[in-house]
Amino acid sequence: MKIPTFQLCFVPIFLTFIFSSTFVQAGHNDKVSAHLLHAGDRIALVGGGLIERARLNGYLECALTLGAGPKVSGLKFRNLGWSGDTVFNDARSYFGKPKEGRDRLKKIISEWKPSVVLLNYGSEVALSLGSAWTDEPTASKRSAGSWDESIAVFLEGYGKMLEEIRKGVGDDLREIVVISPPPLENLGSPLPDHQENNRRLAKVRDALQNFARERKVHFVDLFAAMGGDQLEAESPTKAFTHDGLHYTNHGYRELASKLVLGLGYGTIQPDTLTENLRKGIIEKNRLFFHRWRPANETYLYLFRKHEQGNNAKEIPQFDPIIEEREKEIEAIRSQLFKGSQG
Amino acid sequence: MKITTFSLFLFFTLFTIAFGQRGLTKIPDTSIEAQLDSFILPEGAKINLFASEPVVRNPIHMNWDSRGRLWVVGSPLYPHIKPGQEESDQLVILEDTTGDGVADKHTVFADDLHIPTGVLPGDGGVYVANSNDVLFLKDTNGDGKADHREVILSGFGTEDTHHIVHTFRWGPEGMMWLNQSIYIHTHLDTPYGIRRLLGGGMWHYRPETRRSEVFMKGLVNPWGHVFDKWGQSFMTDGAGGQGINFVYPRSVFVASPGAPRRVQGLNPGQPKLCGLEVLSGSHIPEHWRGALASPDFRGHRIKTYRLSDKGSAFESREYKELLASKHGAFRPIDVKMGPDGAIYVADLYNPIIQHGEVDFRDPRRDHKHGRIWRISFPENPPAPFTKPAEMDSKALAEALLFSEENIVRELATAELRTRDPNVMLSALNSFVRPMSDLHLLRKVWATQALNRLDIGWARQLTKSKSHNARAAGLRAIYYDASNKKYKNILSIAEEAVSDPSPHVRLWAVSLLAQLDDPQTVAIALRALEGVEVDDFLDFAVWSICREHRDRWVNQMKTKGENPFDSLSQLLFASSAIGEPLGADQILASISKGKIKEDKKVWEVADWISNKGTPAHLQKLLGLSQQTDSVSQQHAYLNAMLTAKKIRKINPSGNLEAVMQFLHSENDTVWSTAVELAGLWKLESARLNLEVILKQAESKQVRKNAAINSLIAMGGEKTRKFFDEQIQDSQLSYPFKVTLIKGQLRIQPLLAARRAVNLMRSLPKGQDANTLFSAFLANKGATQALTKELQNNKLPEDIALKGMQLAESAPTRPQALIEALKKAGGLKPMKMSLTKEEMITMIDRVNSKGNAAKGESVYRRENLQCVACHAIGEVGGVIGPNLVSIGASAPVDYLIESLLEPSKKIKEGYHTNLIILKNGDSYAGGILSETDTEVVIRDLTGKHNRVAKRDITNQTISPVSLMPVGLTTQLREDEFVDLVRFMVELGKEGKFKTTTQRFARKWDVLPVNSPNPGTIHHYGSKMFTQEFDGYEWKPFYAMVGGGIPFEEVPVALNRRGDKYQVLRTQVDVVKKGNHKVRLKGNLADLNLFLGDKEVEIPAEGNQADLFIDFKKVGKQSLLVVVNGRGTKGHFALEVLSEDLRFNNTL
Repeated sequence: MKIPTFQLCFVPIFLTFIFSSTFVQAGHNDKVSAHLLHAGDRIALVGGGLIERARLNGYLECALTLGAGPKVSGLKFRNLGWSGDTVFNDARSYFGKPKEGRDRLKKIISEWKPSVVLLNYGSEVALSLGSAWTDEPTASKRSAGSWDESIAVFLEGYGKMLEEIRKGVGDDLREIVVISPPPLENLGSPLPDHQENNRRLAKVRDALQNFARERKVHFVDLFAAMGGDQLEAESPTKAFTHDGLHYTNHGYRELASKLVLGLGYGTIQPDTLTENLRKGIIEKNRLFFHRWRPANETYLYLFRKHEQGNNAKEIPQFDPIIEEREKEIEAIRSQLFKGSQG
Repeated sequence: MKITTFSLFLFFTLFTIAFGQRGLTKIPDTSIEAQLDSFILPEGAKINLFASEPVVRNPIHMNWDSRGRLWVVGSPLYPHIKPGQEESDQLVILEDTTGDGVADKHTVFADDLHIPTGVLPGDGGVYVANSNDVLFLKDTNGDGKADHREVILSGFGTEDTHHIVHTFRWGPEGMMWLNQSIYIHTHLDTPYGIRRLLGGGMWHYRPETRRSEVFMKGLVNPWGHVFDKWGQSFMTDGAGGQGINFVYPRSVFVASPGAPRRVQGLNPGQPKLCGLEVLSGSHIPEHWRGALASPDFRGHRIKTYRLSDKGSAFESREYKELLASKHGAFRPIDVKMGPDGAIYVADLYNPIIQHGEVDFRDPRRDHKHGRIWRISFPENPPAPFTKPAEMDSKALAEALLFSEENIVRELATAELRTRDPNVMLSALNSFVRPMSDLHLLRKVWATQALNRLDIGWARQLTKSKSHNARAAGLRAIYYDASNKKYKNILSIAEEAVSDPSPHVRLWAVSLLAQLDDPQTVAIALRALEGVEVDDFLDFAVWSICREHRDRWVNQMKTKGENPFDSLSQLLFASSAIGEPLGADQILASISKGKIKEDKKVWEVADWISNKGTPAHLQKLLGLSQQTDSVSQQHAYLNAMLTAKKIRKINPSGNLEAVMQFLHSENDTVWSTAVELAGLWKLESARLNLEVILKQAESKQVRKNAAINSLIAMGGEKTRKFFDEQIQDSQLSYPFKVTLIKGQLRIQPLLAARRAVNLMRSLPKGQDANTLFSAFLANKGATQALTKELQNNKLPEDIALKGMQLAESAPTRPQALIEALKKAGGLKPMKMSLTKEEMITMIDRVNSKGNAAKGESVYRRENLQCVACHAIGEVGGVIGPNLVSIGASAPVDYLIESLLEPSKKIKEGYHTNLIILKNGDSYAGGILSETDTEVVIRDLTGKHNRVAKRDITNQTISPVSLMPVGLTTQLREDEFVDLVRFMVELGKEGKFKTTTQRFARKWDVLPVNSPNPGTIHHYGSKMFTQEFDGYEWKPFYAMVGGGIPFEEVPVALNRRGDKYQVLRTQVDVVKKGNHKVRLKGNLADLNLFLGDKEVEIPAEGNQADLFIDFKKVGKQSLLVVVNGRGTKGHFALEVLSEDLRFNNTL
């Protein structure tokens, strides 16, 4: 997909860009500095299904790209979300032990060297009281234990993952942001009742908040920002998820704006141009997915590479195409801000 | 010297390049007519084209909607998207608006998909498998195209694009069912927590609740799934080769990673299958109805199977072929009944299948064509069809309950889900007419499809007279068992667990596994009592004992007593979880004589060996002294041996008691005791062992055990004894080899020196293969031999053999290969062909190859093809089954695989390589795995138990188990014939296995077998006598079912009067006179059932015989060929439905 070329003449730009004036303190007392992102930052998004599916609609990246403001150019994003992932990164393993998943994350992190890493984990813990939420052998049994045990395992795993990420990138890593999971929605029977799960999720949030403080990393409370503390058993009037857990496009838009607000940035009203930016991001993400998580890995890189490993040469050929898309994204971004600065 | 033959031939072929282009580029005629001409159909059937390219390209999966339209997904992108390529695969809706059996309208519903492998219309839109995700697409503005796209499920792996999530189907209970294949690792985020499935298996998903759960695990490529009329699930496998698989909750099948136990499919030895459908409806002839149709996509045909009840599961038998074709690109991969009652077949259309062995970008891969075929029976009227989408609630309810057309009920179920549940429930209740069990079941399903299960009706089913209905009632409750709204489910399960039908018990146990109650295991164990328990039921009970372990174990630990009704239940449960719970009680009851049967004792001993403590093992040692039963002595000794080898533990007390068995007359007991003495380092045994080894007349088995024992005992005394013996010129070569095999484990360098010395002066008629293999099997020994060869020469032929063995060793020791080349002065051998040579070769295969001659080359003993590969049901299981290799693999692939076996390795045939800390290596397939051990099947088919703690390295070897250079001994024409034979395998013609039921697996007596010497008295009947000297060897029929007389060894030659002896086993289902057909030169044939001669005509070449079988079960049929050089073939075929040959290993 080609990104439609922007024609300056007929797109009236009105950015409701209220840069840093309507600043929402979504993060409670852990307010993030408005200078989190710098020009040229490389931002990795790491998490489970919530992050992985964000690649398909581009709202998170779009909001961050614009929220960072006109001077913060050249942001690059890599969506490293993986459905079903936990702080042990076990979902990322293929034929090996669960630890192989951690290695996969470390590999991309140490190769791409992000300057900013945003992380989102925790809803799987709230959803799995009394049953194991990870396959990692050193943690699996404890994760199925009492709530206190389960959350302790979660935080230990989280801490270890942060260390590994720090080690993997080295000095280039400037900022880490821990994002609490947003609330689960009660959409009514026959979908599950998440009242109890949300109470646990509030505890996950509290624990993460402390965790972030202790580790001196940023924290964004998406749970509160998305109304988690007010949610009661009854169905919301306008659902943000289609099953209580997974966000709809509309939900992601809301989530994205709450995230940038939580990071101390402002939001932008969507228009044709922001839509083009978002489409560009989606296309870039599609290409990056084929680059980073190609199908047929068994043949390309793993134990059948002696048969079809010659085809692995095609995979890096995605790189120049991705770069091309990123240039187009940057071009749209700068056009978007031209109006506001002019 | 044979090595030069093939090289010369290669040299020669270089001159004929120009003629060869055709072979490599030969693409089947892509015209519709070419395919139509190629079809072979059953009587009364007609085939026509329903749709084709450009509308449909490379179709993969299809399903009908409730408006009678066919939704098809196809993938020209397969196998892998190219950089710069759009995600452009399509979902197309096909419609036959005029009723002439041809699609006249098509709509592209979506054109931005990425290798879509499943499609299922319903819920107002359509579910589509899109690599990592399952999408729900919907047309919200009525323009016929999807404009709403939602990811429903994400987290499916894509490690291999023909394994990605597939085979969507609505269940009768209104859930969506979906499968994944072996290489896929899936982690779904669901509103109920993460759900994972690593490896193959099947999921179900209920859209209303968004709940996804794993139903069963395993199977390599489960590309087919159907429900029978009672709602039981059956699956096919595109690689496992077991035909139809009966699956039930929590069942685990072949290839499920890390599974300690698996159940088997119903038809071992079947080809790879893709797609599955129950043939049904009033349009097709009655005899087809109820048969399961599944495409053999490699063999260009559709096979069918018939099911019948057996124990807690089913029996599946091959039925007729529904369709066959000679067209090389016809790839049936999905089959579905249509609304008009005709059978629809999706034809991927591709001369190349798969992308593991054939390059992703092979130019012969088709990305353009695709066909949907329609098989109808013109003499029969089309089946009546009203679109469920257009039915009012009453008509819809009537269709759901009473329509006898499966397709109508299926589509009505999907339609039902879009209607108002209250309206539909009252419509379903409005019928007053009497209902059979089947109607009642459909009513239960309808309520469940609305997610409003009426448990009262389901309960009523569980009280039916029909066991099918009782089981189906339980299955319906199974899905809703966790719903707190339903009470007393435990009592339903408890009642059913003692049902007279094992089938119902299986479902009762499955239902129990869904419940929270602390008593579930105690109740489930009752299912094992009072009926014959087969593996399926046993597995289900075993599985719940493990899954609900904490419930009963905690109970037992707090109360300190057996929580079950009996000790044997405790034994079962404790063995299942692999813990020694209650071991003291059970061992005490053996000691008191309460447990006596050998089988039970073995069970207990095995369990203690795997899980017992040293104190338990001491009790076993004590028990071994108490009993006079040789089998039980063996059981106890063997258990202690296993505990030592796998778990490295000894009995806690005095070990000398084992010495008493050194007086045993039983070889097995003696050997086991001796091995234990060695491992336990009981020096008191040493002298005794040395004596055995020094006595020439000692039995080989005792000698082997003594060697192992002395090696294990180790020390200077052992080293000295071995080296003295090896250097003793009086000892035979084979015995020295045996000694060196021991020595290399303790003194590898010295052993290598002795071995090389022996190799340089091999006695006549001996080879060095065993020595090489022994050195190759241990890393330290391999290095020692390499070192020794640096300064030594070997005879060329010996070095060559060594090099061939080393080349095909999974460890592929390069340094040793080089050393052997040097030591033997070997020249580099050319084993690969240039492109031009390949073209020439293909041309020769096509123009000159003789498949019949090739088959006899294939069957030669020294080529060993048969030892490792099966063709259909018969042959070895080490390598891939070749049943349809010709129909699926291009010629160049076959040639390459023969010359360079490691270049392309079949899925599932990768060699696992395990290296132990002591340097020993094991290569083969992993059969099972627990916390403490791995069981690996090696090249010879032997199962080796390896202690996990001994393993230093475990990898998947990039080397094929197939020895390199097997074909170098062939002449050019023989090689060409062999390839031609393989090319023909599975193609329409003489080299496709038929559904005729021949005896294919035989045993024969070797040349000049010893015999009781009563031939003059009994004649041929002598061979029916029990005689210890007979060493039966396996022997397989040819693909066509026949046995060439000339290949059968002559067991006895009395002055030119030759006797060739073969026996096979027949399974008799029912007593009585049953018909068999015997072909061949009847004058020379004698046939015996047991020791009773069956009368056959004195001359002719074929006879249909009635044999009176007086009992059921397995019985031996013996054929003696008695003549002076009988020519031709013979074949034995059963014609009666009550006789079976079990041809698999």
